[in-house]
Amino acid sequence: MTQRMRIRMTATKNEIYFDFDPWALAGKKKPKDKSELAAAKREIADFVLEAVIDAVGDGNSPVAGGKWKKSLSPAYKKLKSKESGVSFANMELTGEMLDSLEVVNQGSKLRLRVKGEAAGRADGHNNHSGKSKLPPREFIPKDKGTFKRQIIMDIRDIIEEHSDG
Amino acid sequence: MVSRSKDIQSVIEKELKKKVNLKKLKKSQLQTIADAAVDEIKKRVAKGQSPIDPGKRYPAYKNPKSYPGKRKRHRPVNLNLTGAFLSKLKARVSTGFRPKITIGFFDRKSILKEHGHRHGANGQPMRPMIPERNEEFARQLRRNFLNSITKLLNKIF
Repeated sequence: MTQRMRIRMTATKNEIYFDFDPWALAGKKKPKDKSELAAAKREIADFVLEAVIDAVGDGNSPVAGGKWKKSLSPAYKKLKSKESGVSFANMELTGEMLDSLEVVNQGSKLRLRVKGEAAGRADGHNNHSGKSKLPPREFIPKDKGTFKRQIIMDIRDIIEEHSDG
Repeated sequence: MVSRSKDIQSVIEKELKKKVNLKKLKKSQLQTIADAAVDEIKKRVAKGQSPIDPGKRYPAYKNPKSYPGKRKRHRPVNLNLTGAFLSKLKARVSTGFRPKITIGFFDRKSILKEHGHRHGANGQPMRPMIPERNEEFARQLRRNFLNSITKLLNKIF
């Protein structure tokens, strides 16, 4: 999918996302056993969501080469201090955006996404549209992007646990 | 009534591919490792994320105006009001033929509180913290355990 198509779809569906095939990312073959395949997909979906939230909570990008401006502007810091006890950029003011983050099935792939009202805010930091002027805090990879190496290695471990043997 | 994790030795040994023989560690060294694991759990909870697989975010306060109200900020949802409850999360270790690390709450008041969070007492959302028999620590948290434990082991050996 080209970047241009992606932007159009993102705007239409009010969704910002990254589709990925875990087996392609890990350089592994899919198991032939359908129940193993489904179980591995479920486990990987749970893990990726956990790993992304964990990184964001620490003020780190889970995206390979992803940018993350950890400091906040003085005005935003003041606003945030009313709601949150955290004074660095962890993507949590009201919690709505991170609560909307999910990993769902997308055909043979998985999709990490923020859908609905919070998608605009998510795009503000991930800048898939290319239009945002907010400080970069990338937690959803762009097309042709991927996750950090350690996340890929842990995906590989899950795949190996469910391989045909 | 108990509120304790399963023995995490199996996690440590499996992931480090048996490079670590816990029997070779002194009790104080094992305690340092166990304390590092406790710190990782506390860091996780402080972010508002469950330590239990699949490591989801804790549900938001139902009515933040009544609770927590002005007693604390509404985010993150992290089981930390005065800090007393989380400070009671401890690790106990035993050495010998089968070295063992047990993480959990060991005093009655904290055990009751943990049960309250786990089962959603008084209508609050369920926010469990200690894995029960059929549960395990979340995968990324286990990774974090290992990263911090590996650093410690490198210092020890």
